[in-house]
Amino acid sequence: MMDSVQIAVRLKTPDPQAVTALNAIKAMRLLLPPLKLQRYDLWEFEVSRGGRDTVSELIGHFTDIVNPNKQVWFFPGEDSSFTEEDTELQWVGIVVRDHIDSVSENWTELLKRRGFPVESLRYGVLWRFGYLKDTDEALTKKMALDLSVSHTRAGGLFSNPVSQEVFFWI
Amino acid sequence: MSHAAVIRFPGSNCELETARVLRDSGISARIYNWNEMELLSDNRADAYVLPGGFSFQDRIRAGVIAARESIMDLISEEAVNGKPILGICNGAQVLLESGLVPGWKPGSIQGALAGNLAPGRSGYLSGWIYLRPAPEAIERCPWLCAADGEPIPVPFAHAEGRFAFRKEDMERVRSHIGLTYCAVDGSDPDGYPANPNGSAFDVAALMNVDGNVLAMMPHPERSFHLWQVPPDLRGPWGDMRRNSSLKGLGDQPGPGAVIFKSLAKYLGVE
Repeated sequence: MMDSVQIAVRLKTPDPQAVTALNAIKAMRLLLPPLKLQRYDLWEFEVSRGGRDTVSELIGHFTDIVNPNKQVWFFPGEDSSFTEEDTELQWVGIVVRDHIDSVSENWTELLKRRGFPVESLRYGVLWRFGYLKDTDEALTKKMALDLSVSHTRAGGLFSNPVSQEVFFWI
Repeated sequence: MSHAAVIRFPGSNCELETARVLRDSGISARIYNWNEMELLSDNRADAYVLPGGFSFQDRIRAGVIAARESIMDLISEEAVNGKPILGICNGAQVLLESGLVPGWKPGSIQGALAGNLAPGRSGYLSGWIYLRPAPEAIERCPWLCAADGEPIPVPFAHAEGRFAFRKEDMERVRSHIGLTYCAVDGSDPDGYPANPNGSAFDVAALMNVDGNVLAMMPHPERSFHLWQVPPDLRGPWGDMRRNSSLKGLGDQPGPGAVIFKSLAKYLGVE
């Protein structure tokens, strides 16, 4: 029986990638831009035993996944670690992943070699778009998705549709 | 005198040597900052180079922020005008994120420089590799018109250098190939390490539809002089480097010079 365990990792300081992205969005002069933007590394582990304990243990071994000097991590969904802004805005989460992901493949091999009960893992980036609270939910999802795929030079920003995929994060 | 503009974005780090090798090829070169579009617009160049580096710290993904800068409007206009435009490494990433290469529909993103795909390795890789010019590119591309088809050793240094395309575009990509990775003797690379990143069709440099824009991942400016070639490099260029006396080394052209000599030839520089 496999357990799927996700962790989200963020910088302790404001994320410069999110700051740059938000500035780029402002330059796009959208009618209804997100007011805030958050960026997280999102790791999804398929573990054959130990569940969250296994993931917690392996994170302690590899500072390339979480560097405790500059990053914090948590299990998203149950923990309330997505910052206090959660209640002030309406958030839409979008995950960006590479179609061909050598980072995940190499980490899977490494963790197996080191004896961790990890069958596979997938790395992605979670972007959370914070919109005004009373904005229509379907509209915010559409706007976030439009922003997430770069079909043209002037269009979306967060993924190249030729080499990456995006999906809503629940 | 022919004039080339080298565009410096925040985070570019190869603009000085790129301008220098252009000058050493007989072409006047000036570096323009990304926010000097009006100045550049008043001083249109005969050719443009987007140098290597880490524009905007590769934030979000390599090249995407630079591609949205207004100076790229001017570069796009000059591409349509048929001016020679070269993107080296991060410059190549900017060209793909601008939709200038492959450019079937200018402005549309139709290719990607994705993360390297090498066995057991992730992220940034660097070293020396060999390139083979495509015969059609020698005919069409101002950056390759002086090439003779012999393998060209140059350094590469990137984390996202794998040319990737949609399945339905694979066939038409072939006519855009400028340079492919190859073995020392010019034969097919047979995967890693001769093809260091898993690029489709072993592509190292890709042209636009008209052939005037070239997105090139390896760094020709880093092998412009023979003294830049490592003495232990295999093949004829390594032999030449080993057999050269240190005294005369500074004046001898290296393998990467052919890219800039091609531009000089195209522009009619004596």
